[in-house]
Amino acid sequence: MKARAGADKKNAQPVPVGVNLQRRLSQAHRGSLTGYDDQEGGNMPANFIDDSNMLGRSEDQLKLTDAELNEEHTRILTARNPQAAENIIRYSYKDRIYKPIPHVDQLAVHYQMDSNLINKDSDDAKRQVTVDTATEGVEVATASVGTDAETATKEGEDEDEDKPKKTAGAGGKGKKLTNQFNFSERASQTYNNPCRNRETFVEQTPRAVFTDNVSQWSIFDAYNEDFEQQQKLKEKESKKHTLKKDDDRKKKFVPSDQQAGDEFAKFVRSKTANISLKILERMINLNTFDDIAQGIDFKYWEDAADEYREQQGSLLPLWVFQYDMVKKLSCTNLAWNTQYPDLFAASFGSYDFLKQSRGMFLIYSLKNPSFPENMFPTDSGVMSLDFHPKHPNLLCCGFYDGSVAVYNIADENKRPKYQSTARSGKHTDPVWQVRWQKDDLDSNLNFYSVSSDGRVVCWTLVKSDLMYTDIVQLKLDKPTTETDEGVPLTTLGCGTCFDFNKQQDYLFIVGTEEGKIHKCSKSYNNQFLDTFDAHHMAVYAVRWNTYHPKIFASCSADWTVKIWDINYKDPLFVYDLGSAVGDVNWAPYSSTVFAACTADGKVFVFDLNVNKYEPLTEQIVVQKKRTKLTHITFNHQFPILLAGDDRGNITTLKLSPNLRKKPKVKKGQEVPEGPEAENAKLDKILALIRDPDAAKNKPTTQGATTTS
Amino acid sequence: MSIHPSNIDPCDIRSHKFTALLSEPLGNKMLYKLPEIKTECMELCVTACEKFSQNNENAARMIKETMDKKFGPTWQVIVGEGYGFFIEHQVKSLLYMFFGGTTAIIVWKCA
Repeated sequence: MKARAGADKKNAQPVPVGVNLQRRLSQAHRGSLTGYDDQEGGNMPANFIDDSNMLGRSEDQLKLTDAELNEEHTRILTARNPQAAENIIRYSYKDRIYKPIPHVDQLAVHYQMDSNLINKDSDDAKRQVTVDTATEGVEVATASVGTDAETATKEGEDEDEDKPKKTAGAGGKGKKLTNQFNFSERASQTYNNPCRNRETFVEQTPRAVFTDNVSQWSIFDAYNEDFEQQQKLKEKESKKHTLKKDDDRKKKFVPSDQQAGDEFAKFVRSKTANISLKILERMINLNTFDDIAQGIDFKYWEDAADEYREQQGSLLPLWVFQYDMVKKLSCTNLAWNTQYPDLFAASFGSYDFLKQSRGMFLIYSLKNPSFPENMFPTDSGVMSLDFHPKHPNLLCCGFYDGSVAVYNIADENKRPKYQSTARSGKHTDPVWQVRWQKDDLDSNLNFYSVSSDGRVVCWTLVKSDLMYTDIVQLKLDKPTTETDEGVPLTTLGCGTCFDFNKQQDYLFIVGTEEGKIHKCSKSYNNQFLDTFDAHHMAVYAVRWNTYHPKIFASCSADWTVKIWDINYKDPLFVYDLGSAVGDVNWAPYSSTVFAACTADGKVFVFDLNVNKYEPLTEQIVVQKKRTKLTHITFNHQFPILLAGDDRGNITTLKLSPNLRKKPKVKKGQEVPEGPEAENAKLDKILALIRDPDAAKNKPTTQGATTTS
Repeated sequence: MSIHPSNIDPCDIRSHKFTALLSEPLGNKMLYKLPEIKTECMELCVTACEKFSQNNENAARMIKETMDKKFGPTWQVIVGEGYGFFIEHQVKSLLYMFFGGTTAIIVWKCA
């Protein structure tokens, strides 16, 4: 009743009055219920119900008076089911009577639902746990999967969730019941590093396209092509081989002693390089000696002063040929090459008897004054040399040790072609002079030599040998020493020089150390044709006149130069030069000009046509004092003189025009040229000499001495 | 040499023609390789072809694998007797040669 009342009261009055208020809501008109629904928002006056008669009352409702309304009725709540029957009679078979049932079931079931929850401690539950543990393994796995599924469906159906968990929880020991009450999920988000994209583009590797079609015939063609190419290569190689062999052969005669260490040295020594280098050297020399060589001095310079000097001339020094190796040696001989007018040979040795050492001869060219073209070192001093007139590369020379040798200067090696040995008849004393002669009847080359051992020997080159023939022995005119046995001993004089007559080959004159000059013939071995008591001291040089067949000149250590006629015992001219005369030589261009050099370094040039008694020039040509001039010679082509001295220098001198004079020509008259003219010239002079004096004494008195 | 093109009938059987030439098993049509690699590669090809004279596939495989190991990542190899090709290759990495008078080998690199 209270519950009802509560409910009723609620409906009746908005303000909760409580239990005290006991109004009979049944009294209230039904219609007022709807009115109460509208009361939510506003105030419902309490008196409203009092006006109930007016409002919401149905007609068939009991109308009660107030007194009746205030009556209190008590209601008691009991557990007695009013619907239940109060007396139920049932037949009891025990008692066999109908008995009333004492207890009537008062329970009324309003709602019934079967559940599947079992009490934890009941037997049934325990039974179930044991079953559960058997399948626990599976369940755990499924549970983990199940938890995932459960978390997803958690928000959904709670019941489904609870069921499996609870069954598991009920059976297992210590298994946590994870339900929505004691299980919560937690999640967290880690910091993801921000990502960045990087790109780069690489240049593509170079590509090329290649295409072909392979087939058996194309393979065959390729093989054939290859084969042909190989053949061609083989041919080329064989050609190259032959070429190489030729080169090797050519190079063979580069002398082995010149060992070229490096490539440059090899190149320098090769043939082609040699030529180029030579040309280069010449050019450089031309530049150096430009003022001399380029014609100004050498070729074209003429001493203008000669015009003023009537008869005097001068000698212009041009070059001086020097060479280190021969500085200590004397120039012993000079010879011009017959073919090349600028090439000459100079021999070097020592005149000193005590200081004898090696010797040398050098080939010089006027085109290269700074260095000799060729050098031939020898063991002993070279005393004389001569170029062959026909074979310009052949040179014969005589040595201080008495041997003679023939050199081929074109040869690469510096050894003589032929050399005389002690067995083959070499001289026992220095060979002072050698001279080539014409080829003999067998057309063998031959030359003559004269030496201090008193022999004039002819040497013949027979094949590879040197054959000697004694021509003349210079016997002294002394009476033979008388011995007890009576065997006559002949002593030999020492020959120092000789010369062959240019016109009559067999005739030659020999000068000796005793001062005599012998006239000899090749055909007569034992005797001289004639003898001249020429000088008081050794005759250093005898020379036939270039043109005149009968005139010759001689010079000697007794300071004199004498001109002789072969037929006369007395000299035609005598010149005193003031010191020992080393050499005298006739000029090739004139029969009346000759030059002489002395030991005090002077050169004298005489022209008999101009001045019979005095030299046209006397000039010191050496650079240092106390240098002796040892040899002098004219060049055939150029107007120059070569003078060698004892310091190893060779000085070139140019003859001034006065010295080269030709007789003055009257206009209109034909100029007589040639040897006949020269001869005639000389004859005239001689005639002049002889005419005023028929006697032999004349020349001696007339030949006034010229002081130097 | 008997093997001159004019002497031989081109339709002749192959085996006669190459007996002399085959003394050197190799004839090169074109080589286009870096010199250091060239000789090695050529020798390798010859070895491979001699080893697998019946089976071109194995020869090609051997060549390709060895080349890759030695010289770089990607080599392509074709070994055969009759085929055509149009390839793009890296410059200076192409070998094209004939072997044994019948086989043509082309090896190229293209990364």
